[in-house]
Amino acid sequence: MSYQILLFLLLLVVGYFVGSYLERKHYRSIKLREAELNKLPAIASKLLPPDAMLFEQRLVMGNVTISVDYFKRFLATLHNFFGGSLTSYETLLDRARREALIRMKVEADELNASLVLNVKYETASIYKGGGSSVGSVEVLAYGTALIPKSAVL
Amino acid sequence: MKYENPPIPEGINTSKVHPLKTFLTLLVGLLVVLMLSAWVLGLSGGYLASKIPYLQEKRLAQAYAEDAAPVTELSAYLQSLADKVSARMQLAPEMIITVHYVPEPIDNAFATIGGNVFLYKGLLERLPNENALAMLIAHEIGHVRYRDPIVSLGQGAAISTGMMLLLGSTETGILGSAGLLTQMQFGRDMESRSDEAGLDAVEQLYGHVNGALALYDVLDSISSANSLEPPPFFSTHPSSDARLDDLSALIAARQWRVDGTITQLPKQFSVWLSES
Repeated sequence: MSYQILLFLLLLVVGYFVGSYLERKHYRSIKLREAELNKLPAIASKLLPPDAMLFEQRLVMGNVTISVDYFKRFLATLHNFFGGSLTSYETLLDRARREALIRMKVEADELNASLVLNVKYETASIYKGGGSSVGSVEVLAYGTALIPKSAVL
Repeated sequence: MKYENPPIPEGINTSKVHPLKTFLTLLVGLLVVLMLSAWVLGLSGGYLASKIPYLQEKRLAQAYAEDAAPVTELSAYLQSLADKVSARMQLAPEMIITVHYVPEPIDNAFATIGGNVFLYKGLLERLPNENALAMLIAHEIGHVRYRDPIVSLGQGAAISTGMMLLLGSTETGILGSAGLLTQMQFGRDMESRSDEAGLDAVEQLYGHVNGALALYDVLDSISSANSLEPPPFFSTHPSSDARLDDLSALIAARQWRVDGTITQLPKQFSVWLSES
């Protein structure tokens, strides 16, 4: 039993340190790319601007799958017992949504779009049937890119 | 029309509390809940089990009666020694002690439900005299007398059922072990109680307690030879030192003789063991 406990503690510690290192690294990269892509607005409105006839419309999307570390998953199990907000999964979903939006904007930017309209998110947990062995989430961000007709490649 | 995305303030979607702090709070809370419920479950399970009539317990223990080994000189000797000891232990009339000899090189002995006492060859080979052997048997009979086997069976059943209901199939399975520690604590109380009842019987049998405590030297040498010995908290038996201290205090309080003649094991004892 003591080996089981040692292995469990080791996984927790490794999970915590590796997980938080990767999370910090990911957040740094997210902030950097968000600032770069801020020039390209992504809007939830589905109303076309009055000058829409000057633009071509194209579907753009960004997709990402992220998993949590062992530590956070265990923390979520504890949360499940007592109830309350699952704080350990908040950063997971925050990172996934922002990363998906960035990837969508990257695609739109490559198409020379000047605006993305009707932006929506789809979130799916991809561990159905996997029991508690995987704690991953998939986020898909999609929208309609408006590309100036003069800039269509 | 002009569109823009204003910069969004950082961290509005995530909790500001450090995850380690949340972790510690929740873990300590859960451990307290588990320990408490295991303790209550163990107590109530053990209490209920102690109310099971002894005859019913014997029926549960039928499985041990079936594989009765042929009577050998060794088993007859062990059984007669157990009969002499149990006659001095104020057992209820329906508590009949059956000694089972297990010819395996394992340093162990245990009592289980239905008054069945199992003695392993490995441990018997190490005993220096009959007084120590009588002490070993008396200790195990002490468990039977206090109905420890059925009580710990009841505790174990109540705790594992409770933990299963409480934790379900979640990943917290490892936390279920926290409950076991509480259960083992009861086990250690039981050991001390059986030690005292056993020594009492040995004193009545021989008129002194000399040689009986050699059993603990043997147990000590076994555990020190075992380099992977668990710390006392994980171990059901209190350390031999603690048990010896308790028994020495008992001997002093009852003013038992410690200088009597030690009874040797039968001459053929080692031959019997090696033949089995």
